[in-house]
Amino acid sequence: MFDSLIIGIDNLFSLNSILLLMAGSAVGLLFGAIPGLGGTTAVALMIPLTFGMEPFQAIILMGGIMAATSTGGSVSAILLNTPGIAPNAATTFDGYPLAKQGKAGMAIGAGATASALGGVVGIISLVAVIPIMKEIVLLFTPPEFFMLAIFGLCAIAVSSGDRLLQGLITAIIGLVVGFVGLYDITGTVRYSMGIPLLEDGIKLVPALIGLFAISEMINLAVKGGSIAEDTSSIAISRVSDGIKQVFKNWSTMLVGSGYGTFIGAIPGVGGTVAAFLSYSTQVQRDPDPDIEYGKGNIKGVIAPESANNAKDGGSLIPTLAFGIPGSAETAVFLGVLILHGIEPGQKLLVENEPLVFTLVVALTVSVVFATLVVLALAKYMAMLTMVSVNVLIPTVSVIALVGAYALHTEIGDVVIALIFAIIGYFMIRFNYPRVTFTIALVLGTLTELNFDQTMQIHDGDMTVFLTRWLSVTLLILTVLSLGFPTFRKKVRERNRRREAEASK
Amino acid sequence: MKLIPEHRQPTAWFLLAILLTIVAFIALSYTYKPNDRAFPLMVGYTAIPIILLDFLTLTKTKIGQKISVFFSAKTSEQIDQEADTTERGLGKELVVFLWMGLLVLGIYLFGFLPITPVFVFCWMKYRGAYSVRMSIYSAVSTLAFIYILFEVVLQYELYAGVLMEIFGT
Repeated sequence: MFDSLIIGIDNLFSLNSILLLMAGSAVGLLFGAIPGLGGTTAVALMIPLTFGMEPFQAIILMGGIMAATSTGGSVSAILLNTPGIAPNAATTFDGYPLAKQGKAGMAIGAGATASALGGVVGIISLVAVIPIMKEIVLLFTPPEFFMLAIFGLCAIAVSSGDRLLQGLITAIIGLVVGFVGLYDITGTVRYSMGIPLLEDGIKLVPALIGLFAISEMINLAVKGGSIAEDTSSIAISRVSDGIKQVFKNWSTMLVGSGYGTFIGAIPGVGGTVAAFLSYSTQVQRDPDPDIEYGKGNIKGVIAPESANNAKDGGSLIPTLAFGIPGSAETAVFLGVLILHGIEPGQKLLVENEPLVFTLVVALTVSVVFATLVVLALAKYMAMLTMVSVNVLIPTVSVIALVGAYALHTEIGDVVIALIFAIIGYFMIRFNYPRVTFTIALVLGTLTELNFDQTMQIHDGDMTVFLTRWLSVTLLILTVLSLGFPTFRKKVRERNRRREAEASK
Repeated sequence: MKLIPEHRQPTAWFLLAILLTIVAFIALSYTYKPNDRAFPLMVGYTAIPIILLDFLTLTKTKIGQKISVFFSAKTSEQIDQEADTTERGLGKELVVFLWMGLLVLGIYLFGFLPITPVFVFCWMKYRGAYSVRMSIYSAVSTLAFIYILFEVVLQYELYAGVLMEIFGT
């Protein structure tokens, strides 16, 4: 493991790699700060740039983006009351009141420092579980992998907030789209409708670019208006006070980081839940605060910011170990790994361990780098959110379409990107989660392959899923996850009753 | 459709489109050999009850409300209240789709490099109401960015358009 870490550090510390890391962090900060874009769009948009790169360079670029996004998002959350990305929403509760009190610098300093430290805690946790993951992943054979994929899809659908049915529907559509093209096991071309372009299947890159980058542009165009309000009155000072506050309130940061890492590791739950849970836990832990939460308590910034960055390390645990992405961003990142011939799971952990550590080092350095940039350039970053949608839409759309074309130099891929952009737009429009669609699209082949291998090994006996302990455990977890919304409702009702009784 | 409140009807049409797609998918699956269709059929048939359940949650019926509460812990009304209420309108959407469609058609006919500045300029001038000068600056910057990044740095040969293939040298 130590050797792999040294290789990881060696991979990163060359001029090319450092430039890639800085570029990735800058893109991540930019896309994180501008509401409506976000890390998934950034990762999808940057995929074409990795085509000619070595796998470790692609990983460094993507690591830079993923680590920096939520740090960027905290700036617009604090200064403009507009979270750059959803996980920064909880930061607005106390961050924006602090900015209104003239303490924007302190809030940004605290938010950025908490993000960096939270990110590092998440990454350390990832490193700590790598040896355990290696052992666990060896227990998995085709039936278990199949059940794990099903569990992953259901867990992600459940985590789509109040949209379990919609999440399941989009997961199924993702699987259906994944069936298009050559089926490796039998050599049959399926569902291509005689279109030669589809015979090799729907290509992941144009589909992801359409689904995340162009669909967001269509959505912005239809909704219209400007992204943010006037930033002219923003004054930033006392940043160092914010940094000191994080060290003073270290337990808040550690608890938030713990939540972020743990929740990040559950497929699909993601940074938003981690940040809100961390925030609400902080409020409960501190029943008698000096400054009321929601009115500019600095701990209300530290708690969610440490959680939403720590989740990056956590969400990579299922992604790297089992190829089950923890979030939409890691699903697209998984696409990048596959594109570069890297197969997640046992092979990656055992045979390509240095790549895992390259990612770990890249994430660590970029989270620190992003923080330093935010601390230095917060005011200018806030101005980025003033970019008009009518400048953003045509430029991002054209660049995205060039990206969709570039990998296979097939003009048909541009059409595929457009089709997926329209599908993605309708998913946004009707509140159907794109994350389950994407994860199913990425997992589709793996799921069917493991299903077929199971059937071949066990002579078509479906009961095999019920006779192996790990498979049964995963099945039980799947059923339990589907019952989670009802359980959550009962808990909410009980809490409401208790609150009502307490107020009497 | 009478059972579905008016504001939820677009979602119902969307869901109906998904249902028809799944039915077509199942029908198409039967044209393949048993080994090729086993898992797709499993997925297809699983989709139908889920879609129907989702369809029921859109209705004003008691059963619809119960399903909604069971699967999302909220009634449809509660979900409506929290939904994005931005007025979009089919006309607006069609116009944006048309712009994007024209961009792709333009790329197909003329290639990336000629169509990039034209599209950026037209969008900014006619949709963004920017000045001619500002629109030209943005158009040229985007073209320069794409040319330098993709053609010069990454050395991709960007698509030159079908017209160039027919009439070009």
